[in-house]
Amino acid sequence: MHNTKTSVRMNCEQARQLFDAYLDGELNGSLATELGAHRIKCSDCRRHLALMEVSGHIVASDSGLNEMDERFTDRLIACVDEGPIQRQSWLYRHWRMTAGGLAAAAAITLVVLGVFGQRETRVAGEKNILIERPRGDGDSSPLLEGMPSYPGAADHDLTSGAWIDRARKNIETKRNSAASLQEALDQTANKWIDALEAAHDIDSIESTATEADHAPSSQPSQDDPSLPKR
Amino acid sequence: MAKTAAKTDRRYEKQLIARACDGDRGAARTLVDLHKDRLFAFIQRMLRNHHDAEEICQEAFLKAFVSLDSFRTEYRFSTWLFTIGYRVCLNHLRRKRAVTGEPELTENLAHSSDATCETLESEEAARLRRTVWNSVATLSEPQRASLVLFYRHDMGCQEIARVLELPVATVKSHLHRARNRLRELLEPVADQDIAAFRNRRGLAG
Repeated sequence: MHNTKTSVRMNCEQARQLFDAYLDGELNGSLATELGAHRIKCSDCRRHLALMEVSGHIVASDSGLNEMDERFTDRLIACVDEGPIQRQSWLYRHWRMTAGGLAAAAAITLVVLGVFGQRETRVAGEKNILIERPRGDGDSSPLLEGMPSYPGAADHDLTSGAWIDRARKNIETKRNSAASLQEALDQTANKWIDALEAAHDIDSIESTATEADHAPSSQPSQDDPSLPKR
Repeated sequence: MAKTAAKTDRRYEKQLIARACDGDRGAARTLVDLHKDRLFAFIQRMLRNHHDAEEICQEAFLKAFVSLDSFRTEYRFSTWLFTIGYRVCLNHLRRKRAVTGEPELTENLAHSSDATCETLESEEAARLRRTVWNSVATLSEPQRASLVLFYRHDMGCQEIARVLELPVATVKSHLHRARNRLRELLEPVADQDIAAFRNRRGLAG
């Protein structure tokens, strides 16, 4: 009896094309049988397939890897917990940046005020406007005046209230100084404005005059030969 | 029976994921404990470095937890986790290559893993094992990943395709090339070595 399956024998090339399907477990029954039959007969294909099977088996039975750190899960969950903390710190960082900017602006303002308060400033055109420095009683800071000195300050008695009174007085003095400084600044600003307005007026008068000189006006020019000389 | 168990597992896993999304640290911990060993083994084989592997494994889990809301429950969590792990591995290897050129085999896991096996197996089998893992180390990343996921993690080509984000045909091609490459590198190994190993493992030949 003629059997088509046995008449068309599988050669090595055909067999090797089936190796992957066989190893993937995707080969159906009859083809798997054909391949098995070829494998029995062909030592090359047997060796070929054996090498693939053995290597797959070694990869599958991979048991000698290094073990994971026992505290891996703890560390990981701690990292997960850090999520909101990181967000907080992000907000905190931004808040700090904003606060830092404000602090810097405040410091610059104070420095500017200090410069205006302690130095004579030349302003506006040809006039020198002097700003009187609001003076304390000495060279030292009024706030520090009367404060107990270290070491061995004999009058360092916080319970007596005298130090607090002195401090309060000094703060009051400073506040007055700041008020007078503000007043001086206002005056300076007003003077600036006046000076600028005056300068603007002069400029506008001059420009008007210049325009009048150059413009072809209805008034007769003095150089006009038709006019009698003065 | 196995299907019922798998369904129960999937349902339990979904519950864990939902609880972890709600901030339940216990559920997150259980998820980590369920998957860490497999993911770590895969990453170790990809990177061939124990310390890097632990770091990358942690990074993969953290990335997974950050985007846990986007996990689609029709897939298995392990598949999704392996996808993240594989991506992180590739990025790590690229970074390493950019800095040091080709990644060097500083820690040959094949050798370290054989240290215990050599005492149990014959010299031939140990040599064969070493040869195989050294050969695996020479494969390209997709080839190595396909091979390890297929044999070590019992994944089918469909699932590997999802993990590697490649078409199934490409995965099959990678597997084919990986097997042939291993075979070529194993050819010089003596026939008797293979026979000894097969006899020990009880494989038919």
